[in-house]
Amino acid sequence: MFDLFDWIPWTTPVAIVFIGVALMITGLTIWGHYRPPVRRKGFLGIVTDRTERVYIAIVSFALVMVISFAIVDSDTAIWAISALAMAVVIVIWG
Amino acid sequence: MDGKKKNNRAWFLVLPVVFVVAFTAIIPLMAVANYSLQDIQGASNRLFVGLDFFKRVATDPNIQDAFTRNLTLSAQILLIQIPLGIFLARLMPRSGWKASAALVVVAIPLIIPWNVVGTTWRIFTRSDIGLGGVLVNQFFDYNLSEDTTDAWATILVMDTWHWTPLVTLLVYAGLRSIPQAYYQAAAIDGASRMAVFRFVELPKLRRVLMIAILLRFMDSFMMYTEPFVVTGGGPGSSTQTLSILLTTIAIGQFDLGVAGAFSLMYFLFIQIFSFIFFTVLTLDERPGATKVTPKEKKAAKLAKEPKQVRSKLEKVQK
Repeated sequence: MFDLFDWIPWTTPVAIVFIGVALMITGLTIWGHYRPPVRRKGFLGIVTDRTERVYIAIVSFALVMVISFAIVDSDTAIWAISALAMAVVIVIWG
Repeated sequence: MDGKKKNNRAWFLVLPVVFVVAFTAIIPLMAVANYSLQDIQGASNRLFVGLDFFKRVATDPNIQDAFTRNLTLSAQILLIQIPLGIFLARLMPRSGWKASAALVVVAIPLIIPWNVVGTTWRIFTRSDIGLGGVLVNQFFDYNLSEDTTDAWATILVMDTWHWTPLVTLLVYAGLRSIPQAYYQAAAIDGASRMAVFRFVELPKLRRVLMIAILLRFMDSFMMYTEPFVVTGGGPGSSTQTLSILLTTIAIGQFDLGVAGAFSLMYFLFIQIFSFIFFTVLTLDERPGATKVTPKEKKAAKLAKEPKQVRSKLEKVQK
């Protein structure tokens, strides 16, 4: 049988990230169906619902990581934990 | 909420699009993400390097320079093309055969393929046989293959020629959709031309301008063909856009890992800029809050009171 994914040189981290994103989108869709998201204004200053905050959090996380890569000899683990904390803060209070 | 449950089953009609996008965008993106984490020497010879390529891209001075250069170019393009597009659209006749003729003339640059635009301008700007190059050389020394300012200006002028019509057409369509009653009301109030533009046309153009700004930003931030044909990114690297540099790394040097990491970061920045533009430009149209904070509740309550009571209450609160 034609193997759809064989041509991609898979690595475990990328597989985990993409499966995670797919599960998250599915989860948010199902959650949104049963409990429609509440729109409110948080510290970000714009009216957002939870899916928008999740998007902003992911993009902010990636941006912080890119900034950390640009700093020579930065400790990726510490930056990743801080960025993750920031992302959680954005999702909850943003 | 009105308590009624919405029927969202129509969303299943989006599924075909999801499949198409999966094949054209998501699966290739997965491949790029996988490349960015490995140094691939051959089909069976690959080495996992983690985030090393991302760090290399983020600290590479050439890539940083190209990023700043491309951002400057995009900013200049937006600053020139958006006002110019609005200006031209306002000049265009609104009805009759003149309107059709103007539309055709304005649309010509848009239907020319990128490569042809580049080649045309390459010849047009030559200082020996090109009409533009020879003409400009009468007034000052112009040579785009030696002078960085000349090369930069040529790219700007060429892109303005090629893409301002898009802004013009979008704004023109926006202007046409404004009901005549608005202009009549403005005329009764004795509004000047400037006031009509500022308070009638500009607010009504918000949506089309948002599309124009987004399209022009994304296009210019990903610009490849025209500068590649006209200047090849030179002289030196003075007109090298991010796309040209990325292609050099991916295809010229065959450094797929670095190119993969570069692509993902490039993608991230386009996402961020587009999201910011979109959010800022649609602030007024965003659906309001379904949950009101206590502070907002207080302000809304206060706004309902008669004016005298309100000022008193405000004093008390202070």
